[in-house]
Amino acid sequence: MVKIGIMGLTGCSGCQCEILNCQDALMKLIGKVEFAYFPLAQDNNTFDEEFDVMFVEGSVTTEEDEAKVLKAREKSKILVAIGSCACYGGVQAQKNDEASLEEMLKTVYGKTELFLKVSKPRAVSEVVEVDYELPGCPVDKRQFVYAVSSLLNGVKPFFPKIPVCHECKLSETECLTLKGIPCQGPVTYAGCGAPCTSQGVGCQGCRGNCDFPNFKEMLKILQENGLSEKDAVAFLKVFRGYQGREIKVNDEERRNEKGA
Amino acid sequence: MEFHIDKARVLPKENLRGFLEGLKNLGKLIAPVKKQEKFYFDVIGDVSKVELSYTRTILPPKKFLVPYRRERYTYDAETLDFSSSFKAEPQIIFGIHSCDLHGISILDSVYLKENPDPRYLEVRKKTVLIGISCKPDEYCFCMSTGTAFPDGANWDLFLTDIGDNYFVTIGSTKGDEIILNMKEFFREITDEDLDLYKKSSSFKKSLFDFKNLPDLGRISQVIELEYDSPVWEEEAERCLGCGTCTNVCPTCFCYTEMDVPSLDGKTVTRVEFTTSCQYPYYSLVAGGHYFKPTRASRFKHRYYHKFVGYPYQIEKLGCVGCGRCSAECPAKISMIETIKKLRGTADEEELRKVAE
Repeated sequence: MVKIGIMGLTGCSGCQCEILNCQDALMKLIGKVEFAYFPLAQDNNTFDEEFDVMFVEGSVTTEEDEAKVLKAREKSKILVAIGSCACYGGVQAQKNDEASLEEMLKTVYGKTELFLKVSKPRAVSEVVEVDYELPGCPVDKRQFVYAVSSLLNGVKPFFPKIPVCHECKLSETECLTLKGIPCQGPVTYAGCGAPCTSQGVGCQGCRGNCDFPNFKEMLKILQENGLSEKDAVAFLKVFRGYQGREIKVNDEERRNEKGA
Repeated sequence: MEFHIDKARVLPKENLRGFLEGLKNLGKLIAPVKKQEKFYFDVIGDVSKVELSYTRTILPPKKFLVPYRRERYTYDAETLDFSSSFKAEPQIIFGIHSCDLHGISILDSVYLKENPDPRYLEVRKKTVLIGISCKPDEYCFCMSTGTAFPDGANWDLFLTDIGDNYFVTIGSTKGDEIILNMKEFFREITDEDLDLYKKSSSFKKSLFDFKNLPDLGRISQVIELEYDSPVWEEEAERCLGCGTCTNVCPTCFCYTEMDVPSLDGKTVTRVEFTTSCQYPYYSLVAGGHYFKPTRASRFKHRYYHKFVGYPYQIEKLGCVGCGRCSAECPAKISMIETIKKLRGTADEEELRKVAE
């Protein structure tokens, strides 16, 4: 029987809950696969045998996380990162390139010594090799089911990294960017079905970068829509984790402007 | 069908509701409705929701001929037996503007000219197209593309607003039959109606700001000649590559497909869905090579296909001047402006000065 594992590292466990929400699919799966490791949902879990597919949620932030994910990689034929924490580092990684670990710890806990050893939050792919990534905050149920049915049948799942605008426009939602609402749709990886924009909320970029995002123009548009340059950069970096490193406040350009 | 003015009829505006109700008996009635500030084509239950004086819908009526996501077939993974649940239902699309009728005519050429697509043909046979006259806004340039008025023979009826009445021209025998079957709503045309109808085309023309319209004369040559122009790079700097321009285009038809296995692995469904030449993966081939590696090359590709590719393929421009790509672009890139820049006439005043 196919052995599946679902593991949580540092995160909110929302993605694992989202998997539990795929009731119809889980009912169909129960007779065909063995959930050998799924501590969030069951009592008896084993880590002794090899896994066919291991889903990992959460960022690698503690020493324990790192040990767990290294072992998971060793034991799994296919390792899939699910959710934006596992794929990019998640919201907890948004200040990674702005503050030191000491500064972060002091701000949050008031001290640098904790009962466990922590590092800056990292994406799973920054620690071990990842076969597939299913981003999103939380992971999209339909994408999860599609990925599972593809992997179980030996088919490579196909996730084109196109912008959220694709799904938003095809559902005939009025363009929020043109309406003046800050929206990250044009630079964010689609697959969610654009649920936020259809409710009038600008895309928050939870699924990370689409292929070759045009951040320069995006920053310009966000500023036209009322954000300061600093806020626009911070807005784009909320969910992108390590992918957000290239987005920076353009100090050099500003200096030139002053000089001119 | 040839144009027979003696067959044209007049539909008094107070009879429109009854006419729309009558259309519902022929199949699924589809018409523009309002959603917040925008319009879209939807299946109509309550005919009072139909918008008669809309500017443009977000998506063209194309979505009812070629759905954006469609299941081609399902096959058994072991026996490879194919099955399809496709079935074309009768539908009436009401309230299509002239540009979109031309858009459908282009799709007809693409899908039916050589190697007709049996599905498209089936859907088209069961679809009645009823057009309506419109007023242009600042994004419209159908005067330049020659699509401001319906011609050809791909539509069934066309309603031109002549004040208190609609002047109804008939484009097909199907249209003729519809009028015959619902003749209680129509009346014969009078000389006065005919006069108003004749004036309606010059009235529409008068609503355009001719200074603003792009010159599309010899556009295929211009695009070819300007293939290496720096204008492409300049414009593509702003392009987000979001694909909105192609997704809202009434003539774009590119799609991709993938096989989706069922969880139990017994069946596989082949799903087709719309894609865009503005997405990098569109030109990605095995081995990781991109045929269109830069944003500028993808940006140029769209113009090249619309103004060079289509004329070569179907002897018509691939653009009908509906203005959707410019009106919906989040980066506010305008097709009119790009064409003007390419022709070197972005700043008309400057040019006149040079001439002087």
